[in-house]
Amino acid sequence: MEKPAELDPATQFRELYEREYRSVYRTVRAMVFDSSLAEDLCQECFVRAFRSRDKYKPTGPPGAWLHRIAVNVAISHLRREKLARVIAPKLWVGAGSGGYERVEAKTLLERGLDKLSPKVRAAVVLHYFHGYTRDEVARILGIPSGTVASRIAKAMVVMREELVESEQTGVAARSGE
Amino acid sequence: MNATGDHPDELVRRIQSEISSWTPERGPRWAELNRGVEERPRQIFKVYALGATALAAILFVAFLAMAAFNVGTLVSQPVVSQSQIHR
Repeated sequence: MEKPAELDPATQFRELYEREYRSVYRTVRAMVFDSSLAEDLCQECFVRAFRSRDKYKPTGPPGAWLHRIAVNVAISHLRREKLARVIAPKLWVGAGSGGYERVEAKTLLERGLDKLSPKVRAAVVLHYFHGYTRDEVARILGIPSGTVASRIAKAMVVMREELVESEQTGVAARSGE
Repeated sequence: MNATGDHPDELVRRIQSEISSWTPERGPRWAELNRGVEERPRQIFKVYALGATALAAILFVAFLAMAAFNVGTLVSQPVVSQSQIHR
């Protein structure tokens, strides 16, 4: 399959937005586990990208540049949320009141991802889903390439263990019915 | 196959199939993006700088006022001489 031509953020931002929106959404969704919030953060990412589109340097694909902004937006949001929970736990209201239900509704994969830090989740999705190389993931996340390799390998072990455990629990629950 | 009966790439396959099923409900919204761009970005550092300046000004004015009215620890303390102590 022929690879689509790279778009220039400075002159073709709208096309880039429409082409990359879903891809960026999926990365953010893997980090925050909430589809509606992921869409809001994805939109915020593109607003930031639009404002700084003239600063884009074509050292990598524009998709990688957008993912870098998206990961930063998601991490900032998660930090703010964590801080709000610490400072005012009684006032803090998460995205949606049904937090418990949302946890229960998590799929096996989401439970596996939940065992990882947001940055490692992003690394797993960028590498295994979007197909970025370890060097590209390292540039997106702003960490050394060796660190990406070791974190991804460790993450896969953790996720595999979680999946096996969840599946065994599921089998035991079904056989006990 | 590994010890758990999964193919080594089973997890990767699962990642790819599940994430590809994540579809945004609202999708790209160009008009909304334009509105977001037109809004002035929240410049938190300006809020912090303004707050810090206001606090410094309040403290400085309080210092001047307390010094002028001899309030608090800025009041000139009476010097107690030895003869007054022994009296």
